[in-house]
Amino acid sequence: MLNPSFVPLALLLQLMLLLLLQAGLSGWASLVLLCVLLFTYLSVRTKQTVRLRTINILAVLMCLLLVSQLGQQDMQDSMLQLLFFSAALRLFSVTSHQQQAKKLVWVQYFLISTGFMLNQSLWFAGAVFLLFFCNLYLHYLLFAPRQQRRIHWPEWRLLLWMMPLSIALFVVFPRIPPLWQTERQQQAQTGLADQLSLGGIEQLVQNNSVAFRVEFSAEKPPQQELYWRAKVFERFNGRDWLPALQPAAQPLLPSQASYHYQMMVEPHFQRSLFSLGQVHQVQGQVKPVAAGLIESYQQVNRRFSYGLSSSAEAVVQQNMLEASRNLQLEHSNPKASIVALQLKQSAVTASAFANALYQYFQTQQFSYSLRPPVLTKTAQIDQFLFEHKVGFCGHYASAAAYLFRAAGIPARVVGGYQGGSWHPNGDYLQVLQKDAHAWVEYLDNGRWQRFDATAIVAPLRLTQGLSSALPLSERQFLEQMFQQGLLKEWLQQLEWLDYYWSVWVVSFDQNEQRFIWQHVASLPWSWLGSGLLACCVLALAVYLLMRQNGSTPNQVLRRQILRRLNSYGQKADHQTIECYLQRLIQLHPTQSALLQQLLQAYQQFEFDGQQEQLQQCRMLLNQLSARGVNRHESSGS
Amino acid sequence: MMLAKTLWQPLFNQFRRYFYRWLETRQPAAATVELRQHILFVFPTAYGGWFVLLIILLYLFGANYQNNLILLCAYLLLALFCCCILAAFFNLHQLRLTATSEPFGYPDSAPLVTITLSQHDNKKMFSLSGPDFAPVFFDTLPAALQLVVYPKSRGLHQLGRFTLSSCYPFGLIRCWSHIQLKQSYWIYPQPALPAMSAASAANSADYPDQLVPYQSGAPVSAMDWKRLAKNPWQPVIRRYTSYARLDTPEHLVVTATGSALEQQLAQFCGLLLQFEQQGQSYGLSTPKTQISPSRGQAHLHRCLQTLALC
Repeated sequence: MLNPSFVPLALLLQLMLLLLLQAGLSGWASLVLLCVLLFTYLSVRTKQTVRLRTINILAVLMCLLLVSQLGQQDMQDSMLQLLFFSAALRLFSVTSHQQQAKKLVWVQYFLISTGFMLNQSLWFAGAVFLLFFCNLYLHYLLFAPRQQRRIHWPEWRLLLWMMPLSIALFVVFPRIPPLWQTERQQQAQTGLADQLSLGGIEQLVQNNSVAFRVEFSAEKPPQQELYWRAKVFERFNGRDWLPALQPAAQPLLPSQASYHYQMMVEPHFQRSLFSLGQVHQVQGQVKPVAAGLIESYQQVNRRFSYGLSSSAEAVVQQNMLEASRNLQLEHSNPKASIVALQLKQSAVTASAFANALYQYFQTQQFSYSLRPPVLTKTAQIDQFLFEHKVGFCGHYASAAAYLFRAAGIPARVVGGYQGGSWHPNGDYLQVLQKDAHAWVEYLDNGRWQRFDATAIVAPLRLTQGLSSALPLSERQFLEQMFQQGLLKEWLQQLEWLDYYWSVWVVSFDQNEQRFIWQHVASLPWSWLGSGLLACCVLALAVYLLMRQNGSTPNQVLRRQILRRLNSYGQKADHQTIECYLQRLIQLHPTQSALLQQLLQAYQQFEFDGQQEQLQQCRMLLNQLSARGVNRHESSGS
Repeated sequence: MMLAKTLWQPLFNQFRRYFYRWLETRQPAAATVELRQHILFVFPTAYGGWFVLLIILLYLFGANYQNNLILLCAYLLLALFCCCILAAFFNLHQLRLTATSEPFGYPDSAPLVTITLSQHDNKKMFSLSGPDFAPVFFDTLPAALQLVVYPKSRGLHQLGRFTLSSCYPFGLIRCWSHIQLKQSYWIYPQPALPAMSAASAANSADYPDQLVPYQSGAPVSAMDWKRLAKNPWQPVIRRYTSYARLDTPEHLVVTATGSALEQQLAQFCGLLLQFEQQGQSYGLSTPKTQISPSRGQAHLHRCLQTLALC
């Protein structure tokens, strides 16, 4: 019953799917699946059908394995594995039954589509869609004539019709909001940990993937102003900086904003979002929270887009509670506290203290490194400031915030990203995970001013990126992760494509849908409608005309004969044209010669297929109709 | 279970009757039927239903996880489903079925009904079923469909309303039509071996009136086999007296009634076939009709049809 190429193709498809969905499958699951596929291949090769009992035993074993792993992995991944298992086992029983093959195709549609849960980049999507259409072909084979493999033109046409239809559905079909909350416990590949410990960002720096992309609508800020705030850490326990406990949300301050930009965030499975300076306006599914930060309504587990307007000014103080919260020091680093108090004696105001602190970091021979020695003592800040003097942004931010607080100035650590690289083609800024950064904000005259000690220690870090700030040996360590050479240029082009893929396709949402509708509604519909109507009428007229003329020359000729010779006598319904002409010859002896010629020419044209006689017929008809008119005139006068 | 069946069966039958009566007005029997909009039915199959469920699941999934690409997959499948409706319809649309001349058969060997098709290019995967013949399936349509009808009793039968359906392509949508063609077929009485009548019994004695050399066209049944065995190069046939008086036609009269009628009809059927084979002219009278003696295939069939209708 089944097309002979169905099973091998399905096997190939599942193998490709196995490769593609590696990210969602645990190691043992891939191994088991690979074994099952191999087993299927062997059974197909040797043309041996597998007994149902074997399949059932395999299914039970797989389910047991899955259940045993249930606690250790994500629910979503478990579901993906379950689907894949069912698909792989289904393939066993497919060999001849169409019913089973139908179910297999169904499950595979689902499985392939869930692949988008893992990744949505252009290249992954391309591969997934390729598999999707492979499955469509399998589906086609299922219901096509058994020996047929090629797709004929009617089916291609069907496929071509599908494309615009699905795109139209994508653009206009209403979307429903999420029905239930979907939180995903996945290790985020991001520096936005819930806490900033000394050493946390190190893991991140080697990560060369994109964190987010920004498109500025008009003015672009200078490179050293690109501090993307994401998290604020206000509690320090001696080792880690933690976020404040349930701070109240800070309302937006509507005011003139200098930068308007659209953010495109890669999934990082958190709610925190990125913003620049003081935010004045937000667009999209985001809300303002405490400390001038922006948060998404739900976890960002897909590419997510939102728009912001902000000014470059420092963030405004929310309330007095915020200031007092940021003065607390639960842990003591005695040496650091002494230094802070010494500096405070010479500098009265907060900004003066900040300058003094800058100077302190500049003069004390601190250096920047991604691989600083591990801090072992309980007084970590003291150890960093007075023993090692080597570290990266996390160390400097943490030390500086401690010094501020020790001097009685409210200060907090801010985590986020700094800088980013402008894409040559796309006019957008791309911020990578390795651009993760941490800095300090201290309170001065009701505003949280920025203090970045790293800028003093490694100024190139800010203006030219991380790699130029590092010594040569460390740069090599970093560049292992980078693609280089000609390939890099190509990759840039591809990234550019990927960017627009995510802007136009992946992050298309209700807002854009509404925007399109508004745009459509604002079109001059009265003009378009009347134009369309006119086109329809014109097309109808042309169609009717064509139908009249579009008939064969024989029909046209017959119609002409009837019309032209109407004055000589009506044709009766039962008469053929020949009978009619013969009757006319009898009725009009004066015209009999011409009529006789016409009859002959007509017969030769109609029955002998002599095309040249058509012209002759027309000529004779012209003469006859002219004479007919004359006769009537003479009889009338 | 039984109760439901007893309750539903009459309702279902009632509905069926109404439906067929409605069909009768919508598509009365015709010699040529072109499948047009008004007699084509289009509806999703069970697999189509599952497919719609898949689309809904994917849509919910995509909407919940705010995943545009899963939504796009759902839309692709939805578009496929919509296009399939049209494709399934056009797979049957404009197909033209034409009835052919009435075939004939006997109760033990039913006739082969032929239906010619036109405008059948690019039309695939058809199944044909009806009350009168075993279901048949065609990957691609031939120019003529041949249906082996189930054995029936003697008479003139009308090919019942049959169903032509296709799920091509993708098996999501089934398009079908209940077609009534003006196509009838004859079932003649089952021919019985002619019983030996008195006259023929005398003739069949091994005393031929005369022997003449065999000429092509002469009935083989009259071959003198014994002589042929002796002298294979000079075949000889016997000529009976009855053979000589071929000009005097046989005339069969249907006289029996009741259960004897069937027997007589069977016997006459066999006789008629024999006469035609022997080249003898023959006539037939039944209570309703009279057929004057003649010969030839047309005459034979006329006689047999008269017998079938007795």
